[in-house]
Amino acid sequence: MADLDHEPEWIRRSQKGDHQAFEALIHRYQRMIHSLTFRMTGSLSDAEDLAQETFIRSYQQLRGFRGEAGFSSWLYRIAMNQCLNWRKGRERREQLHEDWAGQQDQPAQNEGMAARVQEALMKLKPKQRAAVVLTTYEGMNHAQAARALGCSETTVSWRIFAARRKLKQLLQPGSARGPRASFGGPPNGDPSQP
Amino acid sequence: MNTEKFELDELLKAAVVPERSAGYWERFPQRVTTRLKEGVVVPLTIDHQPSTFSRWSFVLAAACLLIGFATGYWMAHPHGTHGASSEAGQVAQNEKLFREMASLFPNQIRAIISDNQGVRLVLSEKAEIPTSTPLLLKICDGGQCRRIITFSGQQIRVNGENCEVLSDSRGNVMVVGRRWYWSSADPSTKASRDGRSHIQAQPLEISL
Repeated sequence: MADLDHEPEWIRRSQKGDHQAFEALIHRYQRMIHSLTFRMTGSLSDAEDLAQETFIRSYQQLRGFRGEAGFSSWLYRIAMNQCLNWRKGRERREQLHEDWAGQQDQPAQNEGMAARVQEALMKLKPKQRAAVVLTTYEGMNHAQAARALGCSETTVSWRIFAARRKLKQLLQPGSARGPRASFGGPPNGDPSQP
Repeated sequence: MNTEKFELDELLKAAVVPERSAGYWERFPQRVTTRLKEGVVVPLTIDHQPSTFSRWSFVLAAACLLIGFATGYWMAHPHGTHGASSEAGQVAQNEKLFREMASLFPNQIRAIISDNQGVRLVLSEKAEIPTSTPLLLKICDGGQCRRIITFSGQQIRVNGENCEVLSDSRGNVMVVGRRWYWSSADPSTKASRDGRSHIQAQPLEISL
């Protein structure tokens, strides 16, 4: 609570170039951003790079922060843009990752559930993954996720629907690509091509 | 369906993010601000409070010098007298500006940028910029032109995109974007992604 009380002051000082105040902001939000970037990349080192880029970008854009949205929402949006751009720049790497994952008949016995879930997340399209990460892991509702992703709530809902259907398939016990799960279909056509 | 949703959520949430050490979380904020300091921009219209006396001295010295140069430069070169001789004069002025700055901040200058808002220095906090021939670039995009003195290997922004400046032993200068490049050896190459920026570049003849 004390941190929250100080936050407007840290932001104001950071906007004037005070690195110490900005460090306080980083300290407060670093775990949140690392968690997001790890979920989006599946790699600790990439997550670290993207977290750094997120904070550097946010510092550069801080003068434009007017406080209409919460600082954390604003930061989420920057981080998510970084992650989605990171994916764009690494399509080949993603393809290699998918090829590698496709060669695995089944997760090894000693492979943890965390790794299996992360692997399944990485098989989603980046925007679907982003929607799942924000709602399932970061606890946002669809409206908040839509703001962070810069799209409509309907689009978020469709991305989540498609993502969950695929995750269900991938995480079926005993098979990473098991039979299709019996989810009910959405009421309308897909406007967002999730 | 609700049970299925619950089970999937349980499964997803079982995947925890690998924990990092306490030391990592202690150091991370400083690593970010160190990176910010490495590319410190010292605008002439400073409106923030420097944290130490030395930073004040540093900024003040640079600001005074730049104001002096900028005033002298604009008095000597009033608008509307641009021509070949004016262009040569500007190159000479830029060389002089660079020499003075380099003597004050040896191996710290990343770039000196002159545009319609004045002159800005982009400095590295440490003397870590390798000695090499300074390059003078004139970049025009969106109806605005600016001159940048920088070095091979440094980054500049062209039309909102970060680009790398490179030079070869023959004095050719290249500006490399993500999906385009411009070369002084072939000025017809497109400058910027949409091709609407114009670049001129040349090495500054300064003995270092």
